[in-house]
Amino acid sequence: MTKYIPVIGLEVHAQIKTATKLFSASPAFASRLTDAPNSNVSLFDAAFPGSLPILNKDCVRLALKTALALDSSINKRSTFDRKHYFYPDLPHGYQITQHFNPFAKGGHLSLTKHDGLANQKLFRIQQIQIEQDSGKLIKPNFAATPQVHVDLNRAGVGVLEIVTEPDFSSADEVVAFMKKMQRLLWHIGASSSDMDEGAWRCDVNISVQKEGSSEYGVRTELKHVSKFSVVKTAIEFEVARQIELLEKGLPVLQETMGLDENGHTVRLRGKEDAPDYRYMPEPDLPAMVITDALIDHVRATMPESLDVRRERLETEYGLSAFHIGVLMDEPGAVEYYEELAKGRDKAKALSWLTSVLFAQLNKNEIRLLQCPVGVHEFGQLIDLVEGGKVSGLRGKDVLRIMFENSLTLEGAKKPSALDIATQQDWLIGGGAEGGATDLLEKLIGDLINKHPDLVKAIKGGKTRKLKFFSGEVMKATKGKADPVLVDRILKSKIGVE
Amino acid sequence: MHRVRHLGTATTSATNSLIPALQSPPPPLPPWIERQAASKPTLQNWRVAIKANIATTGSGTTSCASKLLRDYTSPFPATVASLLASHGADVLPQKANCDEFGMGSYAIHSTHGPVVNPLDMERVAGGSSGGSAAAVAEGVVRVALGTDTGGSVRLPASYCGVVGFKPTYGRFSRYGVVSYASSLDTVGVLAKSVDDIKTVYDVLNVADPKDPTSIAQLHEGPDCGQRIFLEEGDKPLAGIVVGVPSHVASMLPESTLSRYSNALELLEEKGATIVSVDLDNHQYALGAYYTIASAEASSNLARFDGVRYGSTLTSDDGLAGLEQVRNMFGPNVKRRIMLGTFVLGSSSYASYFHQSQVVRRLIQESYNNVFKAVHPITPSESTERVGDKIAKCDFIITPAAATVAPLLKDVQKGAVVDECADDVMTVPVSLAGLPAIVVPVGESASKEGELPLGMQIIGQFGRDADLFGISRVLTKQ
Repeated sequence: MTKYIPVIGLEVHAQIKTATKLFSASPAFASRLTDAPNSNVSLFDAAFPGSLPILNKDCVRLALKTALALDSSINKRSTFDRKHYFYPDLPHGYQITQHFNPFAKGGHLSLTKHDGLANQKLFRIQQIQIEQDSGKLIKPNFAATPQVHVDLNRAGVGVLEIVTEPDFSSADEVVAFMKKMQRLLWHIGASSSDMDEGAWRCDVNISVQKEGSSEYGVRTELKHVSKFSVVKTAIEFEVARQIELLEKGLPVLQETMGLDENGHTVRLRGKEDAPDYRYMPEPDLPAMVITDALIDHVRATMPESLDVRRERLETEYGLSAFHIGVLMDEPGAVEYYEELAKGRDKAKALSWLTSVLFAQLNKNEIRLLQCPVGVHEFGQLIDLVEGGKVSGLRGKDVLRIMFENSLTLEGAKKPSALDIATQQDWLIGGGAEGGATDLLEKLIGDLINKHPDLVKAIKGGKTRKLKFFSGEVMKATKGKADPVLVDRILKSKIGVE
Repeated sequence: MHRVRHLGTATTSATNSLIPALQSPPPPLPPWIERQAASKPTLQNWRVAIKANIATTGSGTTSCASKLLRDYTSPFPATVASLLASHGADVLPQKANCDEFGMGSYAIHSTHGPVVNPLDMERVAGGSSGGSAAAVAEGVVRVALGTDTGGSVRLPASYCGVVGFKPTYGRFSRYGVVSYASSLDTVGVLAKSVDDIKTVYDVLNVADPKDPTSIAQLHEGPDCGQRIFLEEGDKPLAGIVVGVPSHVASMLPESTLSRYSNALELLEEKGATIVSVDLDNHQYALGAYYTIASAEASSNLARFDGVRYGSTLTSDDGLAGLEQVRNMFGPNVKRRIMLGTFVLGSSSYASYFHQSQVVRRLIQESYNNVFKAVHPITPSESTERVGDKIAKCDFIITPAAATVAPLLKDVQKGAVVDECADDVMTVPVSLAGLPAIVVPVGESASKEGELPLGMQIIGQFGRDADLFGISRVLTKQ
């Protein structure tokens, strides 16, 4: 039986993370689902006659960062073009893109075993271009009304299109690449870490090749997929479909595919009704000139590469591959961790961040970048607990209150962890000098001296009687003592395991 | 004929030069414009008309002479309109009539009806800025703004016997000018005197942050125009070399040729040296122009789909509605959209559109080869070849049109076979983005009762101000 190898190429579309749109002053990143339709629309976005595009330099800077991160050669003089088609969500009747003379060419992204590949593999980039996003059609869910509404909030938001060479030979490679590319784009600040709301889309070109053959098969194009899980199912389905056709002696047709509700590919249109986009140089925009000085300037602002960072976390902090993954998957987590670990136990800092703080973030449904508790404040809390001044359980309560304060005390000076613990009377020993351990040692020592019969019983094996002592300690400390610490001191003083 | 009243002052036009409009309060000026205007109301009491494809905020005043935009109200004014208002000009609420979207040479393709020539009402005023030229010629306004993409200010200026100025591409802001062919569109000025044009030039010559192709800060070089402007002697043009393109004479009828000769004689009399210059590839200019202009028009007009503004869809069926709205374009606009759509098609792009861009660059180089001044943005390499003796000049002069204004009935019944052929003198200048001014030649140069014909003086890219001196000498009799 003939073996077929999938040959896959990608066109990744990632919204550029800037305050304003590519060619207008309307908010770009505020264009979230929560905004009222058509509330972020300027004259140019709606294609009012006489309005003109003004290039957002931030988009250029971020495209430049992307090109540098992917080792692409930057075009010192790239130009914009118009791609024409009629659609209600495309106000000008054309999309401004870079067809003839794109922003950057070449480059690569390398994937390693840490990215989920068996062996390291280089995926080549064909080109990077800057373009506009389109608006959105909103179809009300009433079967009775044929009306379609147009929302232009997204129209004109800057998008980076990154086109790869057909270097992928499995759906898993595609997914691993997309994950790493997405992580890279938010790492350098070019795109959002948010997978929702169309911030990230991908077109996938799929064909299969007979093993040993140098000829490419006919390819189909799968349009607009945005979820990793969907990409995998869709590619595997499409590859199987093409192989089945070839096995039956039938041709694969050059088609554009969409997805059905099962994530299976279905034909949208064939080659014969492919639109002619009538590309034309954009006459309203002069060429985009990138100077060496700008390149140097942007290069100086580049963060360390993902692979370098991964290695450094391993050697410098001794973190496991798993924990490195956890930190690198959350935007801002590596920076937060490194700051937190300064002057603290590296493993404890990691555990406080990834279990305690992340749990609180999850509960509040926010990302670390929006965390109301800064590294310094969180560090103070850790020091209170690790110094034995507040119990571990109470420490979590303090954090909860810090989160609550961030909502209720907006703008006001927030109380520190120590303030909160004091206020709640959670400080062990009322915050007395010498700390909790000294206090508990004394307290427990006194109790043992008072009840020699119980000590004897415990030593005789009735360890349940220990509960009496811990209860007394809790009573005396109004429940602030760390139960673990109390248990440890008790056992050592009485001399039982 | 439309009769128009503008508040107390009667603003009537017998030539249909102005489109009726209701008075509306002036829009607030952008702060950056207000700041620079405060100290110099140089246009106080100047009555000004603005072409209908330049945005103003009055209800229905930005119709572009199109049925599709008859009821459209622009939410913002063009920068040039704001600049005039901020310098004290009395900007009429009525807009100057024109060819739909600026496409045409006779100002007859308008939903508001054709404009006729105030000097002879049986004749056309010229286009597309015919309303602007006629309004100036008949004296209802002191100055008018038009747009010039391939000659749309210069041709009507010639037909109506007024001065028409087309600046260097990018010199005056295009913000608020409804695009026809973005890479060629310029805002032009029409007036009865060169001095008035210069005054308006000084108001509009500012960089606009809202126009990405605005280049008003461009250094203008040694100001030889200023020197001539102030020259009082017998030979104000001494030391100035004026080029006569060798290919032009054969394209002209006898009557135009004799006026051309008279103008050249006058220039010599005033001290100028006349030289013959070769402008290569100009035979391809018209084809290249119509290819590029139509392509850009088909693109720029794609936005008029009835979804957002102007005439809107009434049909439930989206496609039928789109067809209905786009059917509101006049036949001349439709023709250019069809042509533009064709030349941009993937199978014709290389042989039509791309080829035209190559021609455009060659034409620009041909001017670079004969002008003394160097092009400030795209200088041509090695214009001075060893052994070659290319005559170099400060200005080039040609007639603005091959003939005087044709009869309205002739152009309407199609007796003037090719409407485009009248643009042959003006189109190469537009392709190269050069500044040019059209002036009616002095009265002594034309016989009594004769219709006017303008002479076009062309300068190197960015040398707009130099044109005023020489053109003033030509008109000062």
